[in-house]
Amino acid sequence: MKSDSGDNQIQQRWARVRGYLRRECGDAAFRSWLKPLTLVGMRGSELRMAVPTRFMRDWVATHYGVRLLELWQIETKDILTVEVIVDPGRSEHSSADATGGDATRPAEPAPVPPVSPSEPGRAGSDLVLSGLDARCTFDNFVVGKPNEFAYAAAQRVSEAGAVPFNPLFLYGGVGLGKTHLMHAIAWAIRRRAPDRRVIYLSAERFTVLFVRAIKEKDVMAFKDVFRNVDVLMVDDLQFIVGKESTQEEFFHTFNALVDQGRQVVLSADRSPSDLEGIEERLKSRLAWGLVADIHPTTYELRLGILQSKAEQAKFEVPPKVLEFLADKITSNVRELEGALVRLAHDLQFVGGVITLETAQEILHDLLRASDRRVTIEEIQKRVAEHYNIKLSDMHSARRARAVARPRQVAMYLSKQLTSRSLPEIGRKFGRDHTTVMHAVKKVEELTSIDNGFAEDLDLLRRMLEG
Amino acid sequence: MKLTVERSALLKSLGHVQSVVERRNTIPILSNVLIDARDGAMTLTATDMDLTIVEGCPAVVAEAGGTTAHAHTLYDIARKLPEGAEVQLSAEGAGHLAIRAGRPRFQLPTLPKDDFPAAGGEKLPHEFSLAAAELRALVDRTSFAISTEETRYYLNGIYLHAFADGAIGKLRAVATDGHRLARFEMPLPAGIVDMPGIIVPRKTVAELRKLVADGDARVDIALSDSRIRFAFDKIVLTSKLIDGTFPDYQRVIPTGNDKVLIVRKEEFAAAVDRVSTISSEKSRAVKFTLKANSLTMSATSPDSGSASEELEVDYSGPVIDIGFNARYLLDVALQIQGEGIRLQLADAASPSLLSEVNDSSALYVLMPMRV
Amino acid sequence: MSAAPELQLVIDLPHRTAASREDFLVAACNRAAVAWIDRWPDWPQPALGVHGPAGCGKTHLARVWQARAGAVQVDANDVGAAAVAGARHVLIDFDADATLPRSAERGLLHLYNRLREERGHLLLCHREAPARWPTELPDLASRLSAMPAAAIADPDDSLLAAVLVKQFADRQVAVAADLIEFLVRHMERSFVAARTLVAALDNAALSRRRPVTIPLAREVLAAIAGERQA
Repeated sequence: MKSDSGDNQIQQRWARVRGYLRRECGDAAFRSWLKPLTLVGMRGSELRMAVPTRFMRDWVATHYGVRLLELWQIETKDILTVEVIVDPGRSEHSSADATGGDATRPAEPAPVPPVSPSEPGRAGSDLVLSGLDARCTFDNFVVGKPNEFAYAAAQRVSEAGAVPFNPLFLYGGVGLGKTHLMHAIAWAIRRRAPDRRVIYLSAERFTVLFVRAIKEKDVMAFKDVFRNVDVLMVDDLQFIVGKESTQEEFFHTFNALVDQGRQVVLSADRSPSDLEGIEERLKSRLAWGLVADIHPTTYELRLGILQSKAEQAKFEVPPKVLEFLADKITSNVRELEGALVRLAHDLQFVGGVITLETAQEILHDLLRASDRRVTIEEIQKRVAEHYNIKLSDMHSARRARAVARPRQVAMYLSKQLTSRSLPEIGRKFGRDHTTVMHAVKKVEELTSIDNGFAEDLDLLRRMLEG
Repeated sequence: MKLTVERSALLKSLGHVQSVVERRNTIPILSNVLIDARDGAMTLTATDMDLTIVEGCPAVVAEAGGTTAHAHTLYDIARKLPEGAEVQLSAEGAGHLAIRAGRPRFQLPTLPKDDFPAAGGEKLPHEFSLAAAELRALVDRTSFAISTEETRYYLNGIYLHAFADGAIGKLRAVATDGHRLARFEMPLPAGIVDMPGIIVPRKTVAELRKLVADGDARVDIALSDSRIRFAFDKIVLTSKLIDGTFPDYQRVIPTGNDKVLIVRKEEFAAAVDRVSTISSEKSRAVKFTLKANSLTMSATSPDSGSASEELEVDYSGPVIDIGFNARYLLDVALQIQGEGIRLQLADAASPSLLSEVNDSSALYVLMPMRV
Repeated sequence: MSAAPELQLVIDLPHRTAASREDFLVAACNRAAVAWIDRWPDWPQPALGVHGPAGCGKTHLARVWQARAGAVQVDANDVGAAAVAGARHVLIDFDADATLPRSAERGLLHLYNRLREERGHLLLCHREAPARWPTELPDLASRLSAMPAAAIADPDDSLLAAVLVKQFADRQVAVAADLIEFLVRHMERSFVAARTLVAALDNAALSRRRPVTIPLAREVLAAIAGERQA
């Protein structure tokens, strides 16, 4: 146990953190959600706090989790994570906890003995506050041929009382839903077995925490956090490649957990045997359990995903647009969803209408590899071909309507599609800038009264924009 | 209203106030001076809406009251009245001001004094005082560099601000027209706390300069971020400030100009003046060629011929050619009080620095000309 | 050149660019980008890309967001350090022709992941849409392609006029409405052209002690056109 002064110090820090939170969140929110929050104590680099109900825990975790960590880190760099646990009994002590030392319970149970999940007093589930995305649940995962095996495996892991296969190793190309499945496992476990302690983090984060623990000579605490969970999920394992000491530590953590019968879920962008730069002994261990791969999407799956996402977001998109996107954006699910998000933004915040044309416009950077800069010469050539006149008529003095109208169209398009000055456009047509202005006005008039002309013009523009 | 005033006193006061009045006015009352007589004294007030002057003038008041009359006409009359005359001013009934000084008699049309714009009673929280000589120096060292291009409103005045030079507070005056920049500084007068940076308009500066032409009385200054007031013994000058942002001039004052030339002011000014006789009237360009201990000034013009003159100077840097506008050089030379000028150069396209050899209170930045 | 007339050079007087949200001119070509900035923190994804030609206002919007979010600006080369720990909201505003260095790809990916976990946000401003950045790291490429991106297109005539007025206002140069109309009809119609033109007009007017007028504009436009041909 630390001395009273250490205990006092952390209480003082907590008082300051509470002060910040009250100012930032306002009195009402503070009273409802943050006032019941009590300080349990430090465990290594982990700060533990308690709330009386699970609902409150989830709310605090999603709404204030990150901020809590930030504020605590301002107070002391010793804290790497903040855990909020459910402890119905604690609220009675809350005032004592908040105001000073609490004689009945040590603020920091150190040194920490190895704990088992069933140990009394630790009934609340622990969950490292590292942003699980609320949208990533099993319900929101659209299943199709390419991912049904991985989906089923993930569900087994989240349901099972015993560990069905260890580890579950998910692999597949980028943006196909590995992270989604891992988050879904975490949410499902949290719902079905709140007692089980789950940690989800990326391999990169694991590395960062480990390196920091070494630097701060706090490896014991680090080990303590990771070797005492019920479920450990590490995402994007390929990023651990080449980091020898981290790999070593991961290997030991992995072994310790598997030996104790705790569930490990891993993901990578390739199969265990294809992970280069990882030690053979670790490689073979990784393949011990179940290796489930996620294949690239099919058109049907993509369309299914789009329909499901649009429906969830109550976002009305013409079927033609969804089909178009499913056909064109084939790389992965993440990009597909990203495209939908952009269309929704335009509809909701910019006041657009979603048609095949506007969708192509909004997503032009995804659909086309580059924007070509059209030149006035190209415009003249294309327009002359389209109207079947001689290119030389673009700058001839002839005023016959058969050549004058195409010339005006070319001037109009030159103004729309290039940033050239009007005098410069005029020169290319052997005319001055007032003629260009007149042509622009004329063409605008015609498009508003003549649908056929407008469509023709649109076609020309598309051809030029490539 | 009926009063008697000495012609010389009247002339002096009118001389001050009439110069505030614009020659052309779309609002007739602004062409007039307000004459107010009460309690054994007369005050004269004139304004162009931005700048207002109020001046007390000793007079024998027979009947209190007030009126307004055309300022420039009244001034011309006062000027032409015989020296030593006693002038009687009376506004009898509506519409006329009668002026009598023995035989000469004038009648001027008037406008009611209530139509005269009232002065705003705005609070001016920052107060301090300067001696007339200090104000003269401040204005003289900087005002020649004020921009006269009307659309450059933010450069049409002197920028006054408090500046901390280490632990020492300074009051700084800066003016620029984009071709040259003048900076003058003096110890911060007592009483200045958190003074906002302000731009005093060119016209106000000119009127102020007339009022501090001689003597060394103290002038009480009060200001806010939109107005400034100068109070003399019998005169109060109140002016709006320019509503603009003065450029961050400190960034354009070079600090690394390593080619240093020291030259005697009288010789320098005379030579510049002589050589520039040949320069074109428009550009007034003079070319400097510097080499060890020698400065050659030259000018050529297709129409007027050519001129050159070599001066012995203190210079040990590399050979350099650089052009300047002769008038700008002379403007600065005129403000140099001591014997020697220090000229610090970088190259032919970068700002040059001029200052007095033994006095750093004034600093001048001059942009070269491409010649 | 000896034939060039004697020319008074001018002091490069600095001016302040107004850069609050209220100073940003909203038009059809940038409405989507502005809407993204305005709807923050309601961003459906951890990152946003804003892209468009030089001078289109990316940096202005970025500053607005930075102030609002309390974001920290990070140089693309230092993104690795920011990935590990640091600010919750991060801005990377690329200089005109800068691209994401290969060595920074991994850092950017981890920054993205960290911000997603911490529910922070990342704003990327670049000439080209993130989806088109030539990235080698597939994980990053997929995130760049999936993130919302708002394009700012070349200005239309009305925005171009507004941009000119704002640039003159930043320089405290008073100009008449007919001058603006003249400029729009005679200049290259791009953001960057507006910026160079206003700077050139300001400079020429200062050098010649003249107001900015149509005759002066005609001279300056001719000089700019001459330079481009040369």
